[in-house]
Amino acid sequence: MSTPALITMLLAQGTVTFFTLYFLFKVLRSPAQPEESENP
Amino acid sequence: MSNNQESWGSRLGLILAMAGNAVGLGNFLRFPVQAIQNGGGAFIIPYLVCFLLMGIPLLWVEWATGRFGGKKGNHSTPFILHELDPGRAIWKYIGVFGIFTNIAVAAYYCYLESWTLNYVWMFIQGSFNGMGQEGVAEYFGSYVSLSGSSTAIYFWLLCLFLNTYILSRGLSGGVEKAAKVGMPLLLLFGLFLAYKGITLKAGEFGAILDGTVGLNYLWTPNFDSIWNTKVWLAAAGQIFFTLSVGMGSIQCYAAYVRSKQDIALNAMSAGWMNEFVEVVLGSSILIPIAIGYLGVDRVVELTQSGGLGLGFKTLPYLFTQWGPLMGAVAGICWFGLLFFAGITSSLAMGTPVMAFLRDEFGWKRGQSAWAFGLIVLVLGAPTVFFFNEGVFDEYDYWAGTVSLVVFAFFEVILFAWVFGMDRGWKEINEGADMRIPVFFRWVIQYITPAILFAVLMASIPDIVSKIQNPGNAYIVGARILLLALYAGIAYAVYVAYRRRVLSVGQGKVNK
Repeated sequence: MSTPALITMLLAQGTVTFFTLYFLFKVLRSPAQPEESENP
Repeated sequence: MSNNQESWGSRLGLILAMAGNAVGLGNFLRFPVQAIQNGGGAFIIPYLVCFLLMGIPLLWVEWATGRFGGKKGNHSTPFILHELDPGRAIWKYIGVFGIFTNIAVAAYYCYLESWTLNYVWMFIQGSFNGMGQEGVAEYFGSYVSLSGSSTAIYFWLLCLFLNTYILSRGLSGGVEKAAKVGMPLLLLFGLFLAYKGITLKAGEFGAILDGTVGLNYLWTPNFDSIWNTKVWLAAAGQIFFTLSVGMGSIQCYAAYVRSKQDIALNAMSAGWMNEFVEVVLGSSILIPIAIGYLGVDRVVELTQSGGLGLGFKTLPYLFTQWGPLMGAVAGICWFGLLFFAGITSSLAMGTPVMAFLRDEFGWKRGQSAWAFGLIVLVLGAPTVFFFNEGVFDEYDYWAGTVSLVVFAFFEVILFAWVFGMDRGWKEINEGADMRIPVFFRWVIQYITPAILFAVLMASIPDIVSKIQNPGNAYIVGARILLLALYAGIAYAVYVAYRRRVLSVGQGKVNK
């Protein structure tokens, strides 16, 4: 692969993978929210 | 009035269902082709900018309006939008788009989904082995033209039945379970095929080029393209379709979120999960494998008509080059992941329709699911029987393209300018497990509507041209059907509203 293509791919895929994992872990580590009656 | 008391079983289930709603066949078939046609690696710049300025804000707007409507017992867009501005009747009828689009898209999407199921079956049987490239392409042609066999109809009915059955099991018992099984399998199949695509070696199993040649072609940036307006419109369009915004399904799913449960972080998690599937997996399968066997020029030629032909007419043949066992595994993984991508989306299309019937007419879950199945059967039949006459594409254009942009534009105006950004911002942030940068408040109010307006305006010449040149009588018939569908739903909304007014009046009298 050419260097510009490789850099673009790694930057794009790296950014997307980072944020996907970051937000997923943030969800999994968030405290459980209290149960409540949902619909009136 | 509503007997609709469902809720999500778990937070992860909700996120997987939302991500499954967004992830569709376009992640694997449309994104790589759009990238190739719009500047290669440079396409990712307008793509991610549009994700940031239009995609993420729209996700928050739709999650917030959905949860807001759900608090008051409304789970479908006509009355969710009405709840945001109860003084004006017009929003209910704009909200009709949120049911219309789901029915009309499901009508052709379930057929598309059934192709993937048939191809999985073909690979299990080893039917493509020794068929040759022409033979595989001809199979697709004869399959969709229903010539000599009714297989396509049986698989379409099977697919409709599967969707309806899962929907009839409810949110946590059906949709959520399907997402919990489908999404991990989709990721697993996608990772396997991406690995095979990237490690494809020239000279092995008939490949003429390394898989990295395809990656190189797809990711080589042509930075001149980012000054081209058409590239930005293509990027905005791709973000739009990939996130399933402007459909009404996100609002419906979010309406079943508890009133103080986070939506900000959930929306980000589901949205980025979709981006992972699209940018990481979607770019590493179709193009690297196709270029590895056919070369750059041939693949560029084949992608002129989109990724569907490459995915269904070419890839099955290329998989058979990997030998009977590995070819079958790859074929099952490819069409299996497309099937899971499809069904998790079509289930999301059924939910708003069911929610409307349950909220407004008190239908039971099973009744409303089977009603949805029946409507999709009737409306989808023309796409099956007149596929070659352009009915399928016509549905896709009006329901799966134009309607989304129109609806999203009006909903963001309603949210930011009528409901008001102060209330809207408070609604997005209520119960949030993350701090949203204030910058997005400004984006939602000014930038997102401006981008949507630009996309809408840019589509007008094409819309006018389509109206002026319908093509054939089948296409005119399809348009009449779609108009009748919209009018029918609008009438049902009118009746539902009258029922609400009457019941409130009776309540007052009783008091």
